Amino acid sequence: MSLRRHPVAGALALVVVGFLWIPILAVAVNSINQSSLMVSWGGATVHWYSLALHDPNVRTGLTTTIEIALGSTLVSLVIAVSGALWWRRAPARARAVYDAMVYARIILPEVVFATALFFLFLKARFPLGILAIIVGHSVWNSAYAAVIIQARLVGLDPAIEEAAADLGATPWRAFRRVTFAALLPAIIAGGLLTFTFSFDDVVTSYFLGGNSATPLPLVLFGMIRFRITPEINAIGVMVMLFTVTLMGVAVAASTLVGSVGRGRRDALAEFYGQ
Amino acid sequence: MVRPGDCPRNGQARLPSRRQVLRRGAALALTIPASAAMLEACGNSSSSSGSPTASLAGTAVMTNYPSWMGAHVVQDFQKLHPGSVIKQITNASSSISGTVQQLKTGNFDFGLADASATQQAVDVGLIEPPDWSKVPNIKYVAESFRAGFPHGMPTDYGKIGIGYRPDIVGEKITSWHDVWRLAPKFSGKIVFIDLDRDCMGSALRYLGYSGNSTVPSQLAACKNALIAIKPHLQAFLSVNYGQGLQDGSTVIAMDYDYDVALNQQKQPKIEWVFPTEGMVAYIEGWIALKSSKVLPLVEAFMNFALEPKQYADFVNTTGTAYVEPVATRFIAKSISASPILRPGKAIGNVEFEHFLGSATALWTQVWNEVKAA
Amino acid sequence: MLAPTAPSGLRADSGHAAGLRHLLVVPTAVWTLAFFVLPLGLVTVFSFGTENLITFNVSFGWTASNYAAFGSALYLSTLLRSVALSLGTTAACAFLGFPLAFFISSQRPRVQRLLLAGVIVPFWTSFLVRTYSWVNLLQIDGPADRVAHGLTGHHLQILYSPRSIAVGMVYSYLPLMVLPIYVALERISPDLYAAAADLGARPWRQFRRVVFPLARPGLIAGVIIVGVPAMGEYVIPEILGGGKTLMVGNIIVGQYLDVGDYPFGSALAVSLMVILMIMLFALRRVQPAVEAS
Repeated sequence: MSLRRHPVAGALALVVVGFLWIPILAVAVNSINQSSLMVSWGGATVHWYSLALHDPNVRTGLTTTIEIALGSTLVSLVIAVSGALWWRRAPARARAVYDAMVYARIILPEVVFATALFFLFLKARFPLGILAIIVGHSVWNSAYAAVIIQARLVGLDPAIEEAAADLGATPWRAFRRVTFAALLPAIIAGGLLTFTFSFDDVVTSYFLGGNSATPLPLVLFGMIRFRITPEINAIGVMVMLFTVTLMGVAVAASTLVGSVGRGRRDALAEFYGQ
Repeated sequence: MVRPGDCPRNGQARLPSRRQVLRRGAALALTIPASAAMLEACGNSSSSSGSPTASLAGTAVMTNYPSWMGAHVVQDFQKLHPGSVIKQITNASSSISGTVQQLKTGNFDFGLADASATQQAVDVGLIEPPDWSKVPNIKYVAESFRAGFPHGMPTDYGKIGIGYRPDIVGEKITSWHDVWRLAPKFSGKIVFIDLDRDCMGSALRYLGYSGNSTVPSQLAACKNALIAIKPHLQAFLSVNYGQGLQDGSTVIAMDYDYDVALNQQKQPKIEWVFPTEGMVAYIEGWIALKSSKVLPLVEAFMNFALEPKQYADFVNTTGTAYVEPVATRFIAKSISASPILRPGKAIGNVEFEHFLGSATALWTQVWNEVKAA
Repeated sequence: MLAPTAPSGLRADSGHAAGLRHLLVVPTAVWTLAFFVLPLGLVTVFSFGTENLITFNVSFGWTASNYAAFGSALYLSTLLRSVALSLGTTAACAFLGFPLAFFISSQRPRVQRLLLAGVIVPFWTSFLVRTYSWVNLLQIDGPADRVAHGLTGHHLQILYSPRSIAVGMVYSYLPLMVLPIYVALERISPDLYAAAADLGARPWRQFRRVVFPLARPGLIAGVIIVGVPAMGEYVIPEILGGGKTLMVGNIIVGQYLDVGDYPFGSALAVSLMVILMIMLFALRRVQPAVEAS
């Protein structure tokens, strides 16, 4: 029996994915629940969606959050990918310092970091707002992305890239078709993770947002404070659908990049002489 | 961040109740480099709602709770004074120090704060009471509330008492002693508020001490009382405190008056108690930053918000216990006739929470020990 | 993943290439120095200072008293509690996440994308919405309780207990474990499985000799990005645990936000950091060196 068709892993996998979606289904159901207590079903209504759609705070919160998430993902990936590529040929001492900085960014409690950065920005008269938030997020987001990308890089045999170079590819082409292509899943995974982190962030956003940027989590925070109503659920569903649509567009664009992935398999196949 | 952790990803600001946010929230901060230029929005704050004074143009930025404002108040004010803008920013900080630092940046002109935060702000030199001659409608606010909130414009208050289901408990609860006594019997169905000022304050009243006590031995007794009841608690809640009373999953709740009143509307079997030992209460209102460049605008808005009709709009929107008796005729009966929200003489012994000064650290320590037990 | 030794087989750079390579570290270096090292330095300096708790003015005094307080029973027991929470969460995520990641990586690319979306899309509702949805699901007389009651006749007393915290933690951290493991497993060519099978290896042996070693860097990455943040987690225990437990995160955030005692909070944060750095560097040593495929 081929390992790939392992039924146990498959069954467990589907159960786990189901588990991930259970609260989301509850959110969706409650978003149309007339009963504001959501303890039981009170009949269907679109009232909560109407409230959410008409709330200007929600709209600006969502756009702010998406801007921040996209911006911080871009910056974080640039930092993480470039750093990882440097790291693989770096001397051991330098690697230790780099790794220490990656760990430290993950370890330092966010409230501590955000407050300190806030003080520094004030001193330096760096304006608070969306840009400051993006800077703040990308400090720790780049560390998470770095961990994922480095894990992938470890298993990459540099000999392949060099072999491609030997076979006449320019360094850039060797990089693009072999290394970058091989890293792509890690880059995408890192990007998804950092996007999601930024999306949900409250503390850094609060400290660095000044009085101009109120991302969605802060808006929700404020709303939940008073009472939890189905409107929150309606917002959750709307936000999810909106973001999925956005990502769908990105995925369509990524099919272009997919051809690079195929290039990697070709290179591997060549290498193994198939 | 997905990771909830301290601020998801090591620390999402923990979820405070709105009380918490306000309590810490508006402690206004340290001296903001005071800048001289006031807008030409001159101070003709004639308080009467009549004449639109065109000179009130400008933007006043307010830190506030979402929806803690009358539904039409801001629009009506802006219509009356073209060119004026009241911009509300959600106060998402649960902390005095967080807000203090925010206010240092000079980003806000006024905001919502409770008495403790306000006093701290005064101590630090950040705020001072507005020129009351520019806010003559302050006369509508009852004297007791002005005394509890002297540095700004009181907007509302809330008492922390007991909500319970007499039909399930089988007897009448009249005091905090009853709660502690009945706890083992209804273990797992009792809810307390997840906020040190309100929870510890109530426990202090239970013990016969002041809800603002800073005496270490009294605080130690308070800690022990809370640790003693903790095994029987379902949870310390920071939102929807009394909701479980509706279906009986919660039998006794330490809860805010407005929350019990709301739940009672859905479930008439819920009853409210003014404990015989007394209660603590928060009082909150608007305070103005000294450094604001649009103080006349702020004062005009304050005055406008205190007009009985406008103030009633606020009360009807939020459902809170209110401070302006003359507004009663505009306020919904469910609020104005509620014995919970307007108990009159039956209010018994209520103590407003005030600033603890340097004892804040001691309270936090005690609270940590209760939570860790 | 984070191998301390240089990879074998890399030829030395030519001068030109070496110069370019050094450029690669510039973004990291600049960003880290300006926006991380400086704040971290400020935090460390705070930790040796004292503060006026009314005005929040920190005076820098070089006192170690902030660190001394960390040794009290309250903080140590809280630290242990957070460690236990983190270990439990990491282990559970590893057990549940590994098969899932493995399964995803074994599918066709299109199905892979679909499954990955299935894993991450739930996390594009807001954290608060999801977590309070769990409160709603797990409460007495809530959906989970009704199902359990219908099936077994017993009530599910799960909300506001360690079990509901566990559910919430595993739920929130699972993607962080699944993604890195998936990324590590994804590069396993199907030919590798076929080759191993051809050579007579049975499924478990294939797993042990082929899959697991290749997945290891991903697993370790997952352990780090789940385990470390889980240490600092306090919001989920607060919401799903009924606010009845005290975590390290509560204390640090409390000091920073409630009391405003930056020196003390900073000392706590720095202490925590030192402990975790030591642990992570120990983990790093256990890493396999880079393997040729």
